[in-house]
Amino acid sequence: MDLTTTYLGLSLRSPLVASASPYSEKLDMIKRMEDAGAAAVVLNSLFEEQLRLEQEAIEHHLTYGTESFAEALTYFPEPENLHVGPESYLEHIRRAKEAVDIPIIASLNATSIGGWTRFARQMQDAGADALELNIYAIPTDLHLNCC
Amino acid sequence: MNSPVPIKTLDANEAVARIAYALNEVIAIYPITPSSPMGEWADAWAATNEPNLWGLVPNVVEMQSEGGAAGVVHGALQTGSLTTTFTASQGLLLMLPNMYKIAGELTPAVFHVAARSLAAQGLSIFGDHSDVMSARMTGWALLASASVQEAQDMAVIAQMASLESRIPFVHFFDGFRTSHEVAKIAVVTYDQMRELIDFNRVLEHRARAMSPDHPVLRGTAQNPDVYFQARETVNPYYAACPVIVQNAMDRFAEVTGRQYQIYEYYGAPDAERVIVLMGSGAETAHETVDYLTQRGEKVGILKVRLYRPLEVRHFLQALPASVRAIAVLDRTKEPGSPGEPLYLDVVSALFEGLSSGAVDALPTMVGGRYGLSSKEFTPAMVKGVFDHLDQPQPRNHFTVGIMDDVTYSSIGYDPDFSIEPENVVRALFYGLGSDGTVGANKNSIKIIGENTPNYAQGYFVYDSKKSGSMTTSHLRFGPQPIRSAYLVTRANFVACHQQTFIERYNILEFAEPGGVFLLNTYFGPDEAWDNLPQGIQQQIVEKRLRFYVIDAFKVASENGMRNRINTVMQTCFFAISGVLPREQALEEIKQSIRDTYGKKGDHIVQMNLNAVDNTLANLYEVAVPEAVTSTLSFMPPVSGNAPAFVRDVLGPIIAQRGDDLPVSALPIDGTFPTATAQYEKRNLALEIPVWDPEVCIQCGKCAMVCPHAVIRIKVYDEAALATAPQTFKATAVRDRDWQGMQYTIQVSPDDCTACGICVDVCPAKNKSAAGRKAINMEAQPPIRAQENENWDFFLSLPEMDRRQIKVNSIRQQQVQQPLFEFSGACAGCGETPYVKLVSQLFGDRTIIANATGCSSIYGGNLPTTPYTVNAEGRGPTWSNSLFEDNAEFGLGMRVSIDAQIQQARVLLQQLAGEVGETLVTDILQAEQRSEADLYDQRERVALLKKRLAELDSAVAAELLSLADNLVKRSVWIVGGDGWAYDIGFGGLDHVLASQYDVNILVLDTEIYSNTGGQMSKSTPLAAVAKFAAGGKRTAKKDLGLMAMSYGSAYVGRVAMGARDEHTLRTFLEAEAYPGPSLIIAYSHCISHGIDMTTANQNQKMLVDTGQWLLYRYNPLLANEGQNPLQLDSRPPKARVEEFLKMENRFRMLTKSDPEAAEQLFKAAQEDVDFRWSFYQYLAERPLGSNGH
Repeated sequence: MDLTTTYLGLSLRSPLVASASPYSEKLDMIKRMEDAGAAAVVLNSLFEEQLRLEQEAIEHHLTYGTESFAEALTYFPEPENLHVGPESYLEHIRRAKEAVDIPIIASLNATSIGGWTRFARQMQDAGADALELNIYAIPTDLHLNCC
Repeated sequence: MNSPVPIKTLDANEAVARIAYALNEVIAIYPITPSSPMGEWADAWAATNEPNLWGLVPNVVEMQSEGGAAGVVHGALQTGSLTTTFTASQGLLLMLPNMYKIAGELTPAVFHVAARSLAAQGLSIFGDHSDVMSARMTGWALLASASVQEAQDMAVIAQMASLESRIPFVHFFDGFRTSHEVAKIAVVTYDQMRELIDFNRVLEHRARAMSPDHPVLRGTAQNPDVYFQARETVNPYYAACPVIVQNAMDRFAEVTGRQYQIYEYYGAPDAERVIVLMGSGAETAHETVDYLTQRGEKVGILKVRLYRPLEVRHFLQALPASVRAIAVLDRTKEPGSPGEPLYLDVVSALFEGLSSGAVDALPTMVGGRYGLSSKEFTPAMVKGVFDHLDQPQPRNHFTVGIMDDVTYSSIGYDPDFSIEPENVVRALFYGLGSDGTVGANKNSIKIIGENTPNYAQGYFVYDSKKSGSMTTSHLRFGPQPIRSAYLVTRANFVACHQQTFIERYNILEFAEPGGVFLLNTYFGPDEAWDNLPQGIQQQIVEKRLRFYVIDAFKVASENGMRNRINTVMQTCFFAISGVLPREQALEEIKQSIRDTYGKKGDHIVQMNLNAVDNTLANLYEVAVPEAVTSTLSFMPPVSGNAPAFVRDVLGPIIAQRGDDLPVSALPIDGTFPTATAQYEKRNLALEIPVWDPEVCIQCGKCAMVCPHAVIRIKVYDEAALATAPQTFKATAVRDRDWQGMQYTIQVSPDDCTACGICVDVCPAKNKSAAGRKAINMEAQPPIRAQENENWDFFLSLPEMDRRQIKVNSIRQQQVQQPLFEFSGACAGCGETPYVKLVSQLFGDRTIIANATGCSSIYGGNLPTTPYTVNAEGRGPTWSNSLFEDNAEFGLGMRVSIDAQIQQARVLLQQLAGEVGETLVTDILQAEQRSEADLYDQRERVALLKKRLAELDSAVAAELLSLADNLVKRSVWIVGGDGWAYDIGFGGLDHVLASQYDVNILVLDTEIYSNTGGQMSKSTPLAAVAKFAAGGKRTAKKDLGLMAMSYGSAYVGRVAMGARDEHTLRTFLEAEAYPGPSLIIAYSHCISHGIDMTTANQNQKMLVDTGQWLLYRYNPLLANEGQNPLQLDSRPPKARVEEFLKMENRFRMLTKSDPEAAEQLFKAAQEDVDFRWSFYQYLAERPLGSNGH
């Protein structure tokens, strides 16, 4: 039976697409999904607010209590590199593309004007075949929306 | 040289570390203030594979003590590596034995020392030359630097000279004053170092290495026939050394353009009065001489750089022939000596000069002491010394800078004498620890130093508290090199970054007329003036200051930066001071934000950039009225009815006027009274916990976890409430044992630090108001006055009779009075609740030997001390000896007390007939287990002493002097994991192997907390720490298991935040055990990178995941045929990663090195699994026939 179809301009071998979940955080799981017949995989989401909160948390903990007491002006070694941006997610897109033949759809939960377009462009450049954009607006709280 | 000289703004520690890193292959260290940053820099560079001069990444090793580091250095040198270490003070003392060896073996090496005071009557982290002077007999060369530029340069010169001469060098510079001073310097490049270091000498060093291919033997034992001659073989090397050093300085000048002399004279060529000194004081003296000679005075200074070997001929040549009077200033003290070291050497040199004819006549020579422990040394004092030399018979062995009203050694000087030039910007910034003030200033110095031809200097003063402390930044910018190695006292710009400071301190004391005052305040520009204290308004009016205000917290929080106001205040400084054109300044600030925060993430960068843009719109200049309008006065430094010593000595120290105290005010032997922290009301908390009696289940947990003893419980008769203030809260007690009595939980609003831990731990839920508990944080200012009244009343209520308290249950035990309160520990500290528990359970009969570390700082750092006394005047007595000897120190106390008890018992029996047979029998046979037993014994001993006082015999007097020991003493040996696992382990081990009844409390923060987070052997797998920046690769040392292996020591492992009842039970068992007992107490810490308010949640997860096992090993159980080990933990119910992810010390690794994190987290789980099954086996295994 020919189950092929098209969606978002992509040719899919079937209409079954694995939606965003923690399963797609690991490359071997993405491969298993392909082997099991998934026509495409939507990756776990990138959350702009998670990146922001992590950056703030690290900065907070690296500076909390510092420059107060002469014997302990800092409490942590200053890290040379901090992977606090979207780099690891973008790398994940790249690796997923290399690992499987089926389309990889990146998933984005941004929260700012500029954040949406910036991350979307980066995901496109990393090789994502399509983007899932999780926009929202809550009618009961106008301040709680996605930008 | 055609290419521009690279410049950098940095402190001496960084500058020196950079050279040492470049020129060495092995670096072995142990952290000690103020040298720790040098080792940390080396470790950070090695972690990023930064190469040294020869393309190698040096091997950086942290050892268990400085003694260990010196051993590693010796071994590395002996096998041909270029090796170095960084140390100070006590650490240098621990290296002395190895230094004798290294010099005796003529091995080139350079030690870099941030010279610091030695612990004598008290410890000090600050700078003087006592430590290096203790090393002057080792045969090491001693080379002094006076500034950051010199420190960098001498580091190179020392290496050159050491390799050439084969004599090892101690290169030293003043601790803090130079080590931590940020200055603009010309950098020595790698290319320049390649020109300067003779690689042939390096090869020769390698050729002398121990090698089985050409084996040699060193470290022989020598006999009277040859040791003396062998010792004298080094003479030609020491004779050649000074010329070698001068040659190295000359070659250095050829390459860099900076010329130094081993003895450098500066001043009038026909000077009659000369001061001889070394270190940063020489810079201050240099600029003072400039000032005086311009006014025709015939003065000069001789800067000593090469103190050992002291080359007499060169030294004498450097002195002008016209000199009539010399003052030699030593930055150390040698009690009992005919003079301090440099003075004696100078006298000897001149005397030899006279004998040899190099000198025609001896000038007047006097010696003086200055600057001990970073005491200020100012141009006024330099002038004072020159004036002193003008006298016909100037007093010898004087002091300058203090007031000695006991032996009258101090000389006078005019404190108003100032030589600060007009064209130097002098700025003072008062900030709150951790608000970003210091960081902002360091950044400003960088911007100005690296973008203008101006010279820049920054020096930072911190106070002794670990949280809520005031920081003062002293900045100077000017067109000439800045030699002012002293604090700014005439500031043309003063900024106060915290509203609360102007209520307490006269922060405009050092403002110059016509200057600027910038205040961060939550009052707007229209109200700011009215809310200033009278004293501040007065200064502003009298000194015609321009007054600016900004609400920096508002701007910071609007931009998501919580209470980090650095970027905001820095922008204000540049806008107002005009040091750089405004637009350029803003651009530079933004660029430095991108550079500094770039790797922390786009969001952080953006927040800070936004803050810059939003600052100026919130900065206002306030029009200053003609006259003072305020009636507000400064808060007094100590509260109410303080005893005289507190009022007259500690009060001035608290008010930042300790420098005014004369010698007579201080104790002669370092003995201070306890119970003084109660008088220092810090008023830090903007919110305090407020008790809701209706919801409270009276469990006692809040009082137990409070780090500062500010929330307490009392149970008392209802009648006492008759005089209670109107808002005082009380409720019926629930515990059946105390039926009919009243129960109160009270908070001290002025002592609380708002850590919020008590609220977090409260298990009671308010059923009618979601989210509220039996205690809730509420704004402090509106209720401060009433709660202070309530607190005072609460303290006046009688303490419950200790015999009525069941100590083995928290709900009752927490009614015991804490005898450890209001320490300077961090808000939310994990150690102090354990110390407080000891003080509640045993405090009135406790002697504490405390290791150096956090517990000795919050326990004993002046001005006030947290150990206190009960109504009978009893309480813990406490002493900090050293770091490495703490277990032995405590054992010594126990052995001594045992001897006294023994003696007392013998004398009792002798006097039984006279004092009463029954009394004697009862005293001798008392078991003293419960509070009731102790109470009875105290009564008996009191009666005994009364009867003895009536007898008139030497025997009775002797027994009277020993009688107090008949009440059971509790000896506690307290310290952190740095002491217990590392530097003090040898002694601890010996004490554990003994049979003495001592109680050892290890406050295990799993890191060197006090010195800023270096790894210890207690640091767990995967934790990020200094010297383990990539995550610790080795498992945590199992101290408990080692202690258990003796079979005769009690070992308990506790975590109060996870299992508080278990902790209480363990403390009671440990203290009752008649032998050595060890409690390893998990202490959460700021260096774990956690939210301190919810720290107990972390402890619960810690235990639930099996990361920290709870157990008690009680040898007494073996006597009953039971397994002595009781494993109190339940099987792990979550993976250890659940715990690791809660703490930045682990989580950071997932961001800095995700692959390593994955590997190490896996290893951590395997370790937990192994340890659980191993301990389970130990606890369940069948016992042998001997009970073990």
